[in-house]
Amino acid sequence: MIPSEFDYVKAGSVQEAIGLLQQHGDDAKVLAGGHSLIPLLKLRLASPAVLVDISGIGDLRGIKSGGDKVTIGALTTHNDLEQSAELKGSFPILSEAATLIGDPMVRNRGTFGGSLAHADPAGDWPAVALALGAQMHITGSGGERTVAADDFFIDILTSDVQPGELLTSIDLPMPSGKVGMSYQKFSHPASGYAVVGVAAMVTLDGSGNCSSARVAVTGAGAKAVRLTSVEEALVGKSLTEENVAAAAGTAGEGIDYLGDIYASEEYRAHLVKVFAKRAVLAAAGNVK
Amino acid sequence: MKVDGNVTMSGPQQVVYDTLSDPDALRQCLPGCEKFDEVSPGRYETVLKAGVAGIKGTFIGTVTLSDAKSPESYTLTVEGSFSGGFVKGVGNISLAPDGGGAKTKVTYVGDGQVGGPLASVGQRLMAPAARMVVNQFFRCMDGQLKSRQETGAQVG
Amino acid sequence: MATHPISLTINGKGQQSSVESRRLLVHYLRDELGLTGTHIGCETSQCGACTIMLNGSAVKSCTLFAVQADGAEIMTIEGLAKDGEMHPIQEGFWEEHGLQCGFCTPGMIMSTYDLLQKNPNPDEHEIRHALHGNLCRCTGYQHIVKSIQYAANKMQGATVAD
Ligand SMILES: Cc1cc2nc3c(=O)[nH]c(=O)nc-3n(C[C@H](O)[C@H](O)[C@H](O)COP(=O)(O)OP(=O)(O)OC[C@H]3O[C@@H](n4cnc5c(N)ncnc54)[C@H](O)[C@@H]3O)c2cc1C
Ligand code: FES
Ligand code: FES
Repeated sequence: MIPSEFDYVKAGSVQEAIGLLQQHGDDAKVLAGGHSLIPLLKLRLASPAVLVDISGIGDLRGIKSGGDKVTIGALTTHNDLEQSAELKGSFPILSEAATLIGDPMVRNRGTFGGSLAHADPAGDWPAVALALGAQMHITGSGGERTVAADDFFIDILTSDVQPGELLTSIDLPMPSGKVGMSYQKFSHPASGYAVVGVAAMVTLDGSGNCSSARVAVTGAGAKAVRLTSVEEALVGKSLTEENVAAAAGTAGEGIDYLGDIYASEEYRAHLVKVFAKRAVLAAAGNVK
Repeated sequence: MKVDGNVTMSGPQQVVYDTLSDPDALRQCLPGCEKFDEVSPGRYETVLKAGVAGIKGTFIGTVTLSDAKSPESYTLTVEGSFSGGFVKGVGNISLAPDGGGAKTKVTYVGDGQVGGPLASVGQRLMAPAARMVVNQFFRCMDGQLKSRQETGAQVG
Repeated sequence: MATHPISLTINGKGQQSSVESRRLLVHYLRDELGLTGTHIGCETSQCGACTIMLNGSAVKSCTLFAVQADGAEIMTIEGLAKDGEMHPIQEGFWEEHGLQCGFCTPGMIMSTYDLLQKNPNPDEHEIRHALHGNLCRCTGYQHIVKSIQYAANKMQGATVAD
């Protein structure tokens, strides 16, 4: 399997990468970990004329905790997030989700930013980013802009990153109060991708009731979305199995479900409720 | 891989039926259509450059219109190769009057298969991609209907 | 045709080549350098037969372009044995019957190499989780797990002895 011909340029800095992308316009594609793009190139489902390899831009990789947020560079790999001791305390959901992505070789190459920018309908990070209220930093020729996760995923394989722009880093607001989070995934046994995956973050008030919840699903439809009806049904309740099950039972309204050879639309609709319940209960179970 | 849904289209049932089975309109609205030549009645040799977002590929094969029951229903069969894999899809398209006869409700029920190397990576993305292409197709057809009615009104 | 000069270290030896942009690393290793120990199973990132070590991490060499490996340090299955002595992982597969046809074995061994450097004493669950990207059509994995346990024990013993 040999891709169509293309030229390859390795960018040394964000500015250089953006310059190259502007220069080549629609003919250029960013190459990060390559674990979504290269399979598409090999099948000739994508045939860009130029690949701009950003993997050498050191500034874009790494995890920085500072005050009220953690900043994750776009090139931080799934494996970096899986292994990070720093994140295990504040965002245990990151290693929990990372370890469920593909396999170790995929995690060694694939990047957090690449996964978000690619917006695969079954990618794991989009659901996690929605549940954590991530803020995406995007740089283009006109400077930097910041987009909330809620506005970032547009459609199948379409995020708000425009041609000529780079996703550079992602901020995760530091949770305050009594917070628990979890990602629960039903993996496709062969591909490893999510048939359905649900990420949940819950905050409890002084009396132990849920004061806020963010719950998001991937794999169900064309893009990851928040399950707002579940979130609303949880607020003010104590997170007992019964209450969580009732809230999770509302999950999935408005999703245009995908059906494929592995899981029908009905099956996915069912899984969304089951995994919403599991994710919220698991989040409630690890509140600290 | 199932693709089904319905759309409400501008125009009475017979007009919509005629447009949806009109080779010229199909040529305009099949995504990235580069070739659409009738080789036998209802059977067209077709080349499409189709895609969504960053994914694009070339479909080479045949499109067949059969079981025509004007103005109620017909069957559309798509068969050929797409980026090194094979695809086969059968869609049943049925029409019913809507909005007191001024509009038409079009219901489509499609089932498709992909095979070859494409299946390993592409399978997962094919259903949502196909759905997006189908939506584009019907939006384009609706545009055709509207513009035909406008020109029709001007002439007549 | 866009070609690029690359310079890298493979199994401890420096290597300079000129490669086409679209040349996959696995094709470069096998067809240009004759390092055919790295296998091609699926060519679609699924099977792990093409696994190699790149800058200290296991990667699927069918899902990487050779040009991306410019400046990198690579180890393939050929680089594992030292002075005619099998590496403890190879010995484990030999002793515990970790292979039948052997097609998946180079990839299995390279993935194991990555695992044992991250986690020198994995339990069975961790071993199976680490082999998620390596498919074997023959063994049923049971003996592969045993082979890896053998290697882990042997390598830990060696560390203690050092
Ligand atoms: C066998 C296999 C199994 C997998 N299983 C899973 C799984 O279980 N869950 C999961 O979530 N994913 C899975 N993946 C996908 C994997 O996580 C990818 O690594 C990830 O989706 C994309 O990241 P990347 O760095 O490899 O991006 P690339 O492939 O390099 O790029 C993907 C797209 O994003 C664009 N892009 C990348 N980085 C940026 C940036 N910083 N700014 C702007 N645009 C950018 C590229 O132009 C390209 O269009 C799997 C992949 C494989 C091969
Ligand atoms: S040949 Fe590379 S993963 Fe199968
Ligand atoms: S030993 Fe035959 S494939 Fe593993």
